[in-house]
Amino acid sequence: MKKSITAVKLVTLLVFNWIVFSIRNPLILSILFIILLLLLYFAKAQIKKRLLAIIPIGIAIIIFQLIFYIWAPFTERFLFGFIAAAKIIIISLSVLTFLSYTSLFALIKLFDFLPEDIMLILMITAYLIPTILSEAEKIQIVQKSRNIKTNSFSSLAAIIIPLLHRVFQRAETISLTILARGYKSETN
Amino acid sequence: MKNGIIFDHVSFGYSKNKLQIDAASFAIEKGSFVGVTGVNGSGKTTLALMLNGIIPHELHGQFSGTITVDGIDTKTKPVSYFAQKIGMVFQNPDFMLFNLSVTEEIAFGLKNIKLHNAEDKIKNALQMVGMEDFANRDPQTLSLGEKQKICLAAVLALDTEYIVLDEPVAMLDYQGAVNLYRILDELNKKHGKTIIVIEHDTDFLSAHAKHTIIINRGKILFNDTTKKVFAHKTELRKIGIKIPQPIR
Repeated sequence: MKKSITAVKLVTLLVFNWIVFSIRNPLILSILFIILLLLLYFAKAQIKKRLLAIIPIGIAIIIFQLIFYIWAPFTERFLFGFIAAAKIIIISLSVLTFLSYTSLFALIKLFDFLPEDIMLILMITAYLIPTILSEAEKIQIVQKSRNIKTNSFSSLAAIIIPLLHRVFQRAETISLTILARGYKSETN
Repeated sequence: MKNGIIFDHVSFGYSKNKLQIDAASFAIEKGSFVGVTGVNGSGKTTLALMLNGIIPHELHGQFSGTITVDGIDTKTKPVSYFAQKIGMVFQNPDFMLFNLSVTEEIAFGLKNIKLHNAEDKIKNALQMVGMEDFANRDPQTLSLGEKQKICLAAVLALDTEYIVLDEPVAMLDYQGAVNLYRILDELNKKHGKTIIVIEHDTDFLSAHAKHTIIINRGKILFNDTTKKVFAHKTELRKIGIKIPQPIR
């Protein structure tokens, strides 16, 4: 039952995004944007973080439209940029909405028809992505406490190098754990 | 002694120039509670990785000597074979949990070894560590102490005769450590499991292990009953090992 609910949610997400792609009306796109914001608000998702990441991209798209298509009238350029930006923002928010209402566990279970090796890779990837992000946040806090500025491009190494070390350490322990629990790769 | 684990002149180094384990010879009796201690970099974790054949099968280097588990040479069988005999709990429980639910985490080993009655085994393992209410939880949302218990439950479900734990209390608070050692004691005394604990905390070792091995720079320095080993106070202080204090 749970599996079929997840499947319906996934199909809904795909159909929704396909529809968003074909919409050219800025009013409808704005309404969809507001609906998604409400859904995310009720799911207590981290809307602010996502908006902070995606809105600058949207603004950049509008600016590029205004700069590069100078042969078209201003309102048309602006409208075209707005529609493109809105579509990207809505698709990004729809994925966040989907993940807020669907657990990663349920999503991966949907693919249990795949070979065991691939399922294991999927599961470890699903575990590692949020783990790496939270590790990066922790490292950022540590480096800030050492008075290292972490928001500039040049000081990115202060985060990436220890992060790589931690990720490799984790990956090694996971592989040893898997072996110690009797895992035999199908390819062996 | 056919039963138990026997190290016979075992040496290992990741490179030719430096040996992590240098001519180690000792025996671990079945049903015993053994502690292994030494300072950082003395070779404790390397020794643990040799017990189930991860060294030399998966981590390669200069290996010599013989390790037998119940009479079977670790070189002759793959790690998956020894996984049915030796359960391993590594140092950091945070790094060991990769499944999306506690049940899945414990079921992972059962699926690999193809054991029957998986549901009962998962339930029993969780009961043994007092975590039966956590079956559907996401392992990443648990505290370190709870994660450590889940790692132990994942090993208990496999019903291995030997359980190896690498610094199991390094990340636990005092009460968490006391609880974990209480579970290990019970597994040893009630269920007859052989417990091998790699441990920095000599207080816990002296309170629970019947037999202790001290390792220093890859060499086995002492290998005797815990009482006799910790009687060598001067030598132990010299190499930086804390003389145990009684735990209240």
